[in-house]
Amino acid sequence: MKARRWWTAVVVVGAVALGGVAVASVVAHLPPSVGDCVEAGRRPAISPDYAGVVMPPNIAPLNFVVKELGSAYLVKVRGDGEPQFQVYGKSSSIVLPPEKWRRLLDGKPKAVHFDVFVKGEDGRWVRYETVSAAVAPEKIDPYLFYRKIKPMYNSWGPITWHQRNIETFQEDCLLDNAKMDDRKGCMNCHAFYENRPDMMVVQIRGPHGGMLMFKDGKLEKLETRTPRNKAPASVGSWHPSGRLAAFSINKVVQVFHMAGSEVRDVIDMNSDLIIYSVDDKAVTSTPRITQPEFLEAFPQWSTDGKYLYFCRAPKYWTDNDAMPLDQFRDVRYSLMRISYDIDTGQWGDVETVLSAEKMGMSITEPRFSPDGRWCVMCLCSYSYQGSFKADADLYILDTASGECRPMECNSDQSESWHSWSSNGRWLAFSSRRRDGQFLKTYFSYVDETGKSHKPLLLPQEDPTDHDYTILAFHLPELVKGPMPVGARDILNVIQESELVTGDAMTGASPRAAGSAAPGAYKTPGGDKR
Amino acid sequence: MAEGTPKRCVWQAGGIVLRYLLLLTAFYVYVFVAVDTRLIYDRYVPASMFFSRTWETFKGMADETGGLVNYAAGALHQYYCYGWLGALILTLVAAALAAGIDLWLPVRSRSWLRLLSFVPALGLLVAANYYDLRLKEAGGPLLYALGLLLVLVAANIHAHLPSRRLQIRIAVGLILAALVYHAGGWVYGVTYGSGATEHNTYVPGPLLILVGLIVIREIWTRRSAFATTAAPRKKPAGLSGLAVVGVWLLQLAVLGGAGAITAYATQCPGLKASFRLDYCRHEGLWDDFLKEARQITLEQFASIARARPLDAICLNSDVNFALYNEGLLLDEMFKFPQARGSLLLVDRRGRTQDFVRVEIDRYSDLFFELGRVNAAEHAAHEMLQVDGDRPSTLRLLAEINIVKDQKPAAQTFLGYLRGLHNSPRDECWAAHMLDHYHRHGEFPLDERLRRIRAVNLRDDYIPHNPTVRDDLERLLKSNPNNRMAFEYLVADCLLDHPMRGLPVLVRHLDGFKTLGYKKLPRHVQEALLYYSLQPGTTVSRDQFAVDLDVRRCFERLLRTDSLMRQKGKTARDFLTALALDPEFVKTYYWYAFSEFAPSKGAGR
Repeated sequence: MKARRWWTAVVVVGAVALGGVAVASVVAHLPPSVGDCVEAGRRPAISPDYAGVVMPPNIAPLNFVVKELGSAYLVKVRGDGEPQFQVYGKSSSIVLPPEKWRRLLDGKPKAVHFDVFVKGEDGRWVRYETVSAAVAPEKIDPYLFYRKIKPMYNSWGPITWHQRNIETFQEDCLLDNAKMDDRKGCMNCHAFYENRPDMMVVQIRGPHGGMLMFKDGKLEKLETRTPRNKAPASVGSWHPSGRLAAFSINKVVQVFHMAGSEVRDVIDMNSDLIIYSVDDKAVTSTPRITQPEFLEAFPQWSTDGKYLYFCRAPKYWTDNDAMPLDQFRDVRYSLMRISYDIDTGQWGDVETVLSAEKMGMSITEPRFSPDGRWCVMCLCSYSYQGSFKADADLYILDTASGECRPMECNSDQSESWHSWSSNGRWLAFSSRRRDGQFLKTYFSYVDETGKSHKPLLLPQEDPTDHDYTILAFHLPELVKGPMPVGARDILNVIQESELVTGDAMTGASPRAAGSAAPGAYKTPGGDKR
Repeated sequence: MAEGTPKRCVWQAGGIVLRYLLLLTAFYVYVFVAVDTRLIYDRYVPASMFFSRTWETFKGMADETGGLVNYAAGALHQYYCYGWLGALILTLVAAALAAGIDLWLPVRSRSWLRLLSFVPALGLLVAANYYDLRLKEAGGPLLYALGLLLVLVAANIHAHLPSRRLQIRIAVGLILAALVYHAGGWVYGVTYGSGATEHNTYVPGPLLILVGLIVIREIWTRRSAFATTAAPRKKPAGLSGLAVVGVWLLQLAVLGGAGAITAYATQCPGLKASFRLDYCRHEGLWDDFLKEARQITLEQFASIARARPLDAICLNSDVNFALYNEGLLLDEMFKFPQARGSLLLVDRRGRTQDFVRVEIDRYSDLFFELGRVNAAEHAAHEMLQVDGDRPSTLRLLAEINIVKDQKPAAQTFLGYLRGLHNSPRDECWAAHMLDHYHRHGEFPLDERLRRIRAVNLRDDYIPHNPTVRDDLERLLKSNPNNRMAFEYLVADCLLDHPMRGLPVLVRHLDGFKTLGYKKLPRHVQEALLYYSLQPGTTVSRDQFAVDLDVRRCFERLLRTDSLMRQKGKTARDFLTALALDPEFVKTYYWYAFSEFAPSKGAGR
């Protein structure tokens, strides 16, 4: 009997304690009353800074960190009307509930407003001015592909290739070089046909290297090198017909500055363009885009497929020069184009679209909007790669008027590697504006006049992620959906399958009338080098 | 006092506790003073840095077989970075193991068998003496010890079950076995083969040991019970109090003796010296580094250089860096063996991937201190790619960005370092720096960072096959007050052929005044005395003050030279004569003669 009474007492005391804890927990999480709060008279410092951005209506919750000292934080979120929901907690990281966020955006508000309250050390609540973000009517492509890597100098360690659903926080790793046999492979330069995930290429380097192409539901590893062209393909662009893709092949060296904020710099020692014919897997080119006295890079087909645009700079050194340290600061690329008839395989003459002399800067990375109206480029003081230069900015060229101007979404740090969404209203690009070191992906709304609006940083579930990660997001590409194949299939094809080789010298289907016969094509690395 | 009386039990318990206290205090003091767990931590950073002490890691590992023990070992190992705490962890684990065996052993408290309970503690002592060598898994011997501890807890629960019913004991045994298997997993590994054919085979050690302990204990207990029932044992005659104390003292002496012999016999002074050199280098304890380095004899240096040339080059570079930091570079550098290429590690002979790693590790530190901050940043990023998230590399990158006044980037590196949770000490530092930044908008600059910021190279250039001298002269041109660049330049001149290096040294003599030297360093005096004898030089002995002992040494050198000439001896004989004088071996003369002209008249 005595033992039973003891047991009863223990159970009762336990139950009361548990109940007390539960009630205290509920009470602690109840949103407080902030009726008699003090007005701060300014906007709160939040990270990422979403004030004044234009966001897509299908974006994941814009979680953020309130960078104001306090003991508790309350954020009321509303659309055009009354507050829809609020988030309260002791942490300055504001994580918005995805379902409520989705419901809010489903109401098609013109803007989303965040009212931020912070409880000060004196126990009083401080109310800050409302942070508002406009909501664009047009959606952004729901997927973003990118490569994640720590800042790379000579060596490289872990590299991963990802697809991210930007309507949620779902991120899938499609390829991880740590899972490759040699743990050293590299992957880069993906190119999607009209923002489609089911037709794309990605370049793989290392012992299992090759060009991975996904097309017609089939994944293949293709050879782009020929006996006369030893360098693998890199940056590419699909022809609108889907039958061809143009690539640059580069011999690039890195050099290192002994003073200044950015240590790295890149010299494009030699580069040319090649055309890959998808049907017969042949690599061809024409002497007009493989001229020995020029560096040719960044091919980009016009949206009607009649022109191949590319960037070209005079080569101030010979192939025997080891390191042109005196001349590389003079290298500025101009925007060029060459006409092409896919039916006859005939190339026209090379013409200058925008000269480096006129702009006073090096023009790289041209990308056309899907309607062909706009061409966005990266311009910097010199060099092949704007991402290493703080003065690199995005410029927009109006193909109708020929006017070229800097975009409004630029910052005082580098902007580069941009990609259009399939509806031509969103531009994803890389910028170092956050800390000057690590490339992050931003989205900017581009309206019908070509004006870009304040960009927003790719949202993360944990808003402190961007503050405290040393991974750079490379080559962001907006895509309409996820890859139809999984990581395991991709890895299998890379490691297990043989390189598929076409007859590079004789099977050139897009024969260029203005050039030599296929068998005598000057493939880069052959006659030229 | 009869055996089993309450008073006697108290005495027995007191005796056991006192024995534990004495032995484990000795254990703690030994590990703290003689072993120093910081050296183990420092050596195995590459293994431990992949372990993150976070709730997410715990959740992930708790789901895996063996994950819990792995987690505990990994987490505790990271606190080895504090010497006192590492020793305490090892002592507590040793104590828990001993207590676990003590509780499990079904013998009388005074039995000599009880001494077995200290065997695992001795094992831990041996592993600590070997600095966890060959147990490189994160956690090292801790992993094994915690696996055993888990087994002992389970074995004791089973041994002390109140019920004697076999079914219940089997059921509880199975549950405990399952729990131990899940928490302990495949902890124990067997390594066989060597080199490329080396393989590790892991066995579910904790489970097997638990089953063994349960079976042994069951058989033992049941046999004892059966024997007692069949033929009741006579109660042993109780020992007198004095005899009990005597046995206690004897057992204590045996245990203490075993511990002392084990500790002494398994000490590895060479290993410790090597670990300690590394540790002092990483921590910037240059005085201690030099104390260790001075213990290495010239013969040992030569032996290292023959067997492991890369180690010798790195050691040479480290010694010079330590001498510089202690203000002794130009006074004592020739007390240690020198090779020109190892001053800033430009000797690329025998380069291997490993050398590249050790080289860039040192590059980043050397360049940072020199004021070549961008070069240090480059090297640190290479380290980050090659070696992963080593806390020291991230710390250096944060410091580099602080020196370059790139606050957001510094904040990112500090936040990343703090968020990794793989190094308690570095986390604390990062948290302190971030807290200061958030409160004041600036990072705190200590003396060292302030000095490096002052000497940071401002004129940009892109190096392309530059010599060490070019780089150092550029640094001095950028900032004549860069003391390290100046001393390294002078050292480089001293290490070069006298006819090439000393004219450059003479050109830079004003630097000593600029930098406020009260007198010329000893080796510079030696070199100038030597140089003043050379035909065609513009330096005369009256132009600089020479210490008395330097002058005497030089005069002795001249006398020896003259004597050897009179006797018609060769350069080799001259060198042999110098080598016999320990004072000459520590001078610039010995280096210059032996390095550059041994067969052509020894520079005479």
